[in-house]
Amino acid sequence: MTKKDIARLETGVRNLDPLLRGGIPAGAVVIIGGPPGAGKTILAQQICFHNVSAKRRALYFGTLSEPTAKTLRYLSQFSFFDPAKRAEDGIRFVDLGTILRDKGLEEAANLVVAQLKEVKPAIVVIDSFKVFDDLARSREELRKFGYALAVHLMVWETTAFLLGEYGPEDIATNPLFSIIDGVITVKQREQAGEQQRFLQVSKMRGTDHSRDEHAFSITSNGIEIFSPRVTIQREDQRDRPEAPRLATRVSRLDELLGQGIPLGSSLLVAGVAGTGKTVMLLEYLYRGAQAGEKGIMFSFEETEARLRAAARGLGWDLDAEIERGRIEIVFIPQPNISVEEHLLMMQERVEALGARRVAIDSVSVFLHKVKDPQLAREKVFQLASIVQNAQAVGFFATDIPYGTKQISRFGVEETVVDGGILLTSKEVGYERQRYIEIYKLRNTAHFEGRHDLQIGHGGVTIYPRYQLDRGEQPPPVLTAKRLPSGIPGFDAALGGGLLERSVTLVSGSAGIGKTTLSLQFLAEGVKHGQPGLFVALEETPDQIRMLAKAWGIRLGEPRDGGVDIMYLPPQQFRTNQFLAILSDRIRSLGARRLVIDGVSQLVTHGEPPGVLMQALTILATRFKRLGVTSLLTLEASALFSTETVTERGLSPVADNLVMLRYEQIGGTLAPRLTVIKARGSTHDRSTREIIMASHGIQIGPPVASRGKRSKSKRRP
Amino acid sequence: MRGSDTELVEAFAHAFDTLLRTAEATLGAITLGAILDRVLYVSAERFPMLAVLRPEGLAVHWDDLRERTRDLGRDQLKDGIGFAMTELLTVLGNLTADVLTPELHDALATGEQQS
Repeated sequence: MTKKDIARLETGVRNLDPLLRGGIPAGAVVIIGGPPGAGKTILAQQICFHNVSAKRRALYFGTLSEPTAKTLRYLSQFSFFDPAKRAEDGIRFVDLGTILRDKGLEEAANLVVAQLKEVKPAIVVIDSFKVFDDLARSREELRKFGYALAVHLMVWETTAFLLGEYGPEDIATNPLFSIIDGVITVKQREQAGEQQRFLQVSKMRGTDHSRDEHAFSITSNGIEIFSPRVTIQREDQRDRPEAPRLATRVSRLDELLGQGIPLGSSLLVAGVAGTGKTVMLLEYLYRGAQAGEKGIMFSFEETEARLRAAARGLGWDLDAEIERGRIEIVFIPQPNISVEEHLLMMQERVEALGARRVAIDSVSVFLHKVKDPQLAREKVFQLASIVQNAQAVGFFATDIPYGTKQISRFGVEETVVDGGILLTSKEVGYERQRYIEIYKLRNTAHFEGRHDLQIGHGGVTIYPRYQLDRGEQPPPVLTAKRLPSGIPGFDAALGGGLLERSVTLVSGSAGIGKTTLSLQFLAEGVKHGQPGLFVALEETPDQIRMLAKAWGIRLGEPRDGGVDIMYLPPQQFRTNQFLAILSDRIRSLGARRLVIDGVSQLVTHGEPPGVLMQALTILATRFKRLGVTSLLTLEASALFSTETVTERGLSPVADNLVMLRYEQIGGTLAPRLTVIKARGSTHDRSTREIIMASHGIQIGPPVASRGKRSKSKRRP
Repeated sequence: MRGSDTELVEAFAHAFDTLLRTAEATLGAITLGAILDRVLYVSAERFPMLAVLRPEGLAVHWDDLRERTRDLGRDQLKDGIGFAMTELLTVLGNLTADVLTPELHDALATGEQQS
């Protein structure tokens, strides 16, 4: 004999049926208990109106507790109240009060049975049943009466609700509770600083029901239960293929995040106030919308209008994305936050939009009334579950308490999310430097450590810290191809020109011609269709162009494949930012030749020793990977020194080392050039004369002896 | 014909009582009494001639119906008492998830053989 599933009566009360695993068993006799005003009548009425139809009728018996007329008047305010269903072929309201008052329990019971026979209802409500307790002359009479009534209700296959002001003490002592099939209790108490209503299913035969208390509210729609513990469950992901990854498209954040963020993940964006969490979240949605990905932000501090204004101030057209329906902003004022209710609301809104990106600003404010860390952890887990089930990526802002080393408010939230982004700041002189760090991202090899971050027009700009990419070697110089340097005589000294993708360090004292030499190098590139980039760390672009003009060196215009001149004063850019800015510019120009004039300026005061070496190494590696042939000038501190490059340990950085120095001949200083190193080339190590010709520098033949000078044009 | 109508009622009464006795052991007197009350009420609603059937404890008083057979058509009688039997089996089945149904059918079959 096959087992039959018990038929269930849907309650029609939002989120109640999941607690009951589908509804109330049909034919059950259920007590709805609770103090006055807790919502018993509303609950019973809602169930009736949801189920009543021409074929399924309901009997609603009122006793002495509340006149039927008053009941009907108040219930008519709810949206579930349908006057059409209150007709004779819908819900029949029967007043038991008179017969109870005049003739007692037995006659009242007979009336109930007579109505059962006549109406044959699917649902019966007796409101209140407690009055029978009060009118029974003994517990024995009450037991017999209750049993007989329950039997008749059962025989007529009705699902019955007996309402009453029953409390926990009744469960143990009232004989009625031994014969009924279910107990639902509604109550009100203080939680997290405010009065909250709760519903609890203490008993329901044949049902593996939730036994927890669940918050609910009474709205114009009736009772709405918030049971995120039951309704927000993580879906089984085992059968899903490996989740694709999301690129944030926020500045260089994706470089830090490695392969991207797996869909279904949630990340905390943590920081003290003022570190840029809201801007980060907003830009995360905005960049996603620009790429066609829908996003939703739940904001508990800033209104939509203020967020839109902030976006306009950053130069974004967030308004357009909202109008297109790609971004939604949901603002819930802090005093109105109801955690249970809004968790379910968030779930519905995320699903309704089909959001791929979810931002919550902030989790700290959302849970500000929650004092228990474990409860906070549970709620963050539920938020993360919403994101996972939607296969979105969530960014949850969280405030870090000042002066702590925590990375979240409670110190537990990070244990239930998939990743974390930490925003910090530090005073440096009169400025405040911002930083970003990816401290966690599951299943992803992300870029560790702290990186520079700026927030300005356009939004967030991230400058990944100098770091050699793990395991990657710079591509080798192309030994088959040599580029003309543009400096007559220099190619011969190098063994035929510069190898493509090589890095050349030119060291020399001030005024010896390093800048002129480097400009000639770039101008030669322009002749061969190789755009160039000159990075000035001390002089302005105008000064550089004037120098080139004075020497007759033609640089062309960047838009025509000429030389672009960038001015990056070190005091305005940190070392970490330099590489990022430079890389972007090289790519956008398509530059093939690069000069950085005065690389020693890259290292600012206070940087640890070896930073220049590290910076140059990374620069060199990056330039080679970008396919650029580069020339870096380095100022020597002494006129006659030959040790600048080697004593600073910079020799391994470059493929070619060229030294410019003065040689004292008699009473004059004669500029000289020596190629100390030319990797992959048979170069000439002899010292050569530097000749200032009419169109720049020329390199003369090897200097045979002291005292001989050639005539040269003095530098303007 | 009148005699066969009476026999029909007797056969039905015997079967009805057999079902009640079989179910009593499992369901108890109060429940069974309520079931009987329902079945008779509904049957009388559908076939007013059955309004003469009255419960006597956990049995039915059939005498009034026997006396009325002379005024009833055979088809009407068959339909009415058939409905009542079906209603009883249906209610018993619904309330017990058909757990008792095989046992009740066996009891009916045994009763037929004995009669």
